[in-house]
Amino acid sequence: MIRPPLPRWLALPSAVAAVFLAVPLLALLARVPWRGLPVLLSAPAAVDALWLSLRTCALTTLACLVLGLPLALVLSRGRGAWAALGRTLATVPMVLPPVVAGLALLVALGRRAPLGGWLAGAGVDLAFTTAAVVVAQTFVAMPFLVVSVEGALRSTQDDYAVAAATLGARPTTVLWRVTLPLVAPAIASGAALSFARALGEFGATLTFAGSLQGTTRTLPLEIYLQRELDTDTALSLSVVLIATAALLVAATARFSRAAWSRS
Amino acid sequence: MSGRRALAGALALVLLPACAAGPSSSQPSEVVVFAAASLTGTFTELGTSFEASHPGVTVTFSFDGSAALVDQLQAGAPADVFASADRATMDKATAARLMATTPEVFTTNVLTLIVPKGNPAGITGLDESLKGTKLVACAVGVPCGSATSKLADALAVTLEPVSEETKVTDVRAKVESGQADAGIVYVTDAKASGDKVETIAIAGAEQARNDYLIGTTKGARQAALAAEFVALVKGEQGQRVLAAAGFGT
Amino acid sequence: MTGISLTATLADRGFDLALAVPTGSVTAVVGPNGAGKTTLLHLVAGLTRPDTGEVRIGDRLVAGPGVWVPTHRRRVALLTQRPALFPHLDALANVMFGPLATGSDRAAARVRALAELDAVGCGGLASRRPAELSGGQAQRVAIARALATEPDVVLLDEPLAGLDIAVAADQRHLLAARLRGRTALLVTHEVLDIWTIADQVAVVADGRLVESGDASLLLTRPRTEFLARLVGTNLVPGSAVADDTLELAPGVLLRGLADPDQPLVAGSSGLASVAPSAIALHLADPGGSPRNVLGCLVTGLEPRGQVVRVHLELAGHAVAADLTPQAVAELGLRPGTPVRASVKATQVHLYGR
Repeated sequence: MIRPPLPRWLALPSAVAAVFLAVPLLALLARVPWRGLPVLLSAPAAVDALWLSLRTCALTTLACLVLGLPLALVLSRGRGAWAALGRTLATVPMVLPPVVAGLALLVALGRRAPLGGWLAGAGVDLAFTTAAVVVAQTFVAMPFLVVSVEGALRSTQDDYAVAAATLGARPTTVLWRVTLPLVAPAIASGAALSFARALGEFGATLTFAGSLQGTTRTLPLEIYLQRELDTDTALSLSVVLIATAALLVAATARFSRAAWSRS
Repeated sequence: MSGRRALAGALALVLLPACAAGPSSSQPSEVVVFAAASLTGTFTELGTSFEASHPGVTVTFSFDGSAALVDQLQAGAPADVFASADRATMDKATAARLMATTPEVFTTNVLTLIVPKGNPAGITGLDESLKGTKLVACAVGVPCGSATSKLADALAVTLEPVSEETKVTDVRAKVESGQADAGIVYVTDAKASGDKVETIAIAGAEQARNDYLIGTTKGARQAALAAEFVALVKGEQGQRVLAAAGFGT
Repeated sequence: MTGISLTATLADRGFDLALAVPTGSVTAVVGPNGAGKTTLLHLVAGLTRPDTGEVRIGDRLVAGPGVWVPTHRRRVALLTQRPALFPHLDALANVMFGPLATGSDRAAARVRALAELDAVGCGGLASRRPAELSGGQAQRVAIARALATEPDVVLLDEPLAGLDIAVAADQRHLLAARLRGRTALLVTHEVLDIWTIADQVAVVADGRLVESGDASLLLTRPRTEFLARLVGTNLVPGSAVADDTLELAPGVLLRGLADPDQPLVAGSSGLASVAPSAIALHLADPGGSPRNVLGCLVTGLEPRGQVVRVHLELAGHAVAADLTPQAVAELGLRPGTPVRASVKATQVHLYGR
């Protein structure tokens, strides 16, 4: 069947939009010192930053899965005011400016804060540690996983879970063997988005965890510093971030398509 | 039809000032000053004074890290005056042929130690008392970081900061909030933090003194006014304001 | 030992029902939409809690005061219009799901699953994904999956409703074969389902049990309007004045053949069942052999493919007669037209209540 065509004047604003999004990226890529890239990227500071980012983002994604999946499952069944409140709470870090998120973490978990002070007393000192980086990243990245999975859970038909129960499966079995596999694409794309968000996390990390090579100076923080020191290095590291972001987005798109083909 | 015109006119009126806002436009009497972040308080005060003595003239500031400002100048950002927080950065600007005249030193800054109110970690100076504490400093490469490194070498002290910030204001913030046990910042920053921190002077801090340089830029659109501003900064009033904030001579 | 025994109320749905299903028999549950048929199934399956009452499966109390056995421990299988096969597993894995979930080891589950798939004629589809199966095949696999767990009770909620007629016919026979000897509740709107699969019938209306009993008995001698309509016959109540005569209203007599197994008892109430095709309509008294000629009023006309169903009011009851469109035209029938309905006594089935 032939679809009625879109109005022709849409071509202009959509072209403007495409150019608007593409130009800054292309300009950046044009400025990158491609010849010197391997050398710049193998500098110890750069390698440390890359490795630290990968480690922390992997841990963060794991934390998002371990904490975010249960939350998404519970929220997907919730009805009424409490559920709405829970959903809002889970989404707020997504729209908070990262610096505000960092401030919030500081006020809650910093040394002078009640919870932070108690933790410090118990020997757990989060400040200026890699753990603090993971905490900051998880705080801002978890909403992406929760939103992605909860949406998919809500749109999954109930009959699968009912069928599984009538076949004798305990609730835990239904969860592992039916519910989660059915939303596996959403989990995957949610995890990819969380990873991407964690990778780009800057404001909260800077405010809450500090900046020390190899311990807390993740890729974005390294770029922030190199901006003051050596623009070429900053640009080279930016390319790494852009490339990773592009890969993750492509992976997410592929998972979404897989989901559609299954239903 | 007149309704539409009125709307267009109103839109233009609303948008015009927005277009005119940044330093990128050049209205008849606007002086654009790029200055290192540590000069924020002092230069803003001097700017107000300049505007008072030059009716019809507005002074617009852009405060940022010295190196970032040089980058912006190289990219063609229009500025009339540039003031850097160290010689190295100004040398870069001169080498890139961005300055109209040879820039001159107009003030200096030295480093000092600040601790949160009450000095919970019992710091006594840039010495053994820092061992095992949460010290925060600037990253090597930014002006205050290079100075810190130089000072540490000169005093033969090994510093082990838990965080090396890109901006000295971030160091201040961590000490003020009590996250850090101590921080190495400029004397001017310590003064700006006021009661929120306690200052411990570093004996021999003069050995790593940052020279601040100022000059008019090549692409200045208000060359005459720019020169007058530079004169103000270097003159008696400027020096008074700088001294009051803790800058050296 | 009864298969299912249920007495339950659900106040906010106006549900108040008591039903006993004998072990090893299939009971068809019929009734108008919204009558509570699905609620009944859900009560047995453990998907709804009763406000008051008890549900027993075999001799186990699964719902009652202070007792609640969740769905997964009731050993109840549920089949609905949607096969709900797990899309991420192939057919064999789907059928193995139940046995594996209830503790079988892989090998035993596999053997069982293959046997069940063969029993429904889908042995060759074991490695197909649900998306690759046709509607009929998916429904068969769903049946295999449900029976692989050896449930105590099988619940079916209009399982053939989504299938086209030819496919449904095959499935019907399959279900009849696979359900033989099992305790089952089958919600359906299709008379053919009752004839082919069910042993018992229960009629539910407005959350209450209206009629229940042996299927063939109730279908040949329906006692309620609903069942009569389902079977496709007219049902008129009256009081017996002789063993072959029913008085529908003072002076209005209907003669027919009495049912030998359920004869009319003079003086007590009885029912007359007449097929719509057996009623002829005339504008004036026809004369001739038919022993029943009764005055009626046309209340409506309903085209039904090759015939027109003429709705009539007879002695205060609604009956229907099927006529050809030409006949309707020739007689000039319209709502409000008075007509004489004639029926041969041999085509009137009379039985006691």
